[in-house]
Amino acid sequence: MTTLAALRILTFVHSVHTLEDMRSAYVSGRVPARYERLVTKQARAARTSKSDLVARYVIEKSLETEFPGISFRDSLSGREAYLTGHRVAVWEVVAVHKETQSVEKTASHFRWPRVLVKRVLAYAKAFPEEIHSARDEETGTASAAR
Amino acid sequence: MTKRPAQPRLLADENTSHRFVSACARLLRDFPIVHIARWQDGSWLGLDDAALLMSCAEASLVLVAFDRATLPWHAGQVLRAGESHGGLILFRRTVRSANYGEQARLLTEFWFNESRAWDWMNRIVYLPKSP
Repeated sequence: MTTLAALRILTFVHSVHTLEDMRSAYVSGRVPARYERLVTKQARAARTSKSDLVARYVIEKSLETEFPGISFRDSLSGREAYLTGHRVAVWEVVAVHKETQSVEKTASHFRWPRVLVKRVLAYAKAFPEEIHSARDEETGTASAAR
Repeated sequence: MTKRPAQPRLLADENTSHRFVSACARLLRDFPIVHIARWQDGSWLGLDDAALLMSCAEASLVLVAFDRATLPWHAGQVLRAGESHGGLILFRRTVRSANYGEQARLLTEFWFNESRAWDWMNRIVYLPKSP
């Protein structure tokens, strides 16, 4: 690597949450300068700090890798897990599964292969509080606003 | 000569079931609803809420979905951005996700008795309606 290239690389050191107990831990990494500029621009657009945005990227990308088929999007309750390529949030699939009590029937409800339902349920099992909170926010806020 | 199917006026979002759409057709033949997975070869499944709402406005489609607060919130954002949505019909959470017959009855009765002639642009209705 040339000196110039090395100078263009910045180091990020940020605080993120560990998955097990939500204590914060440090994650650091070096990226080409153009990505630092990109993140800075995106943080400004999102009206958040660069470190918070990088932390979010680290958390969400690692979860997407750990749970294939799960992505994240904005919602009233904050960032929300949903099934990639679909419009349905994880908490909505869980709600249907709670009614049907069956992976087969839930898959039939959405006309999806069973593997998609299983992927969603695996994520929900790993983060039950997040799913309950998203559901309460989406359904509770709507009722209160009416 | 075969009869052409009715032009869809209602688009069932993905959090509703195909079985709900079938139940509507069983109650009223040619009921003008289509599931989003069958509309435009499913290409709208990848749209986020705001893009879907604006696409529905362009296609004169009323979106039918289960109530989640984010959807009307995005509808508000679409309006604030100077755009329009094609209208929203939301099932309240008192309606069970898997009760397709009840969903179909609520929607078909509401559509034919009250609302099919309405101007749906930027309108939001919850079913069942408040007493």
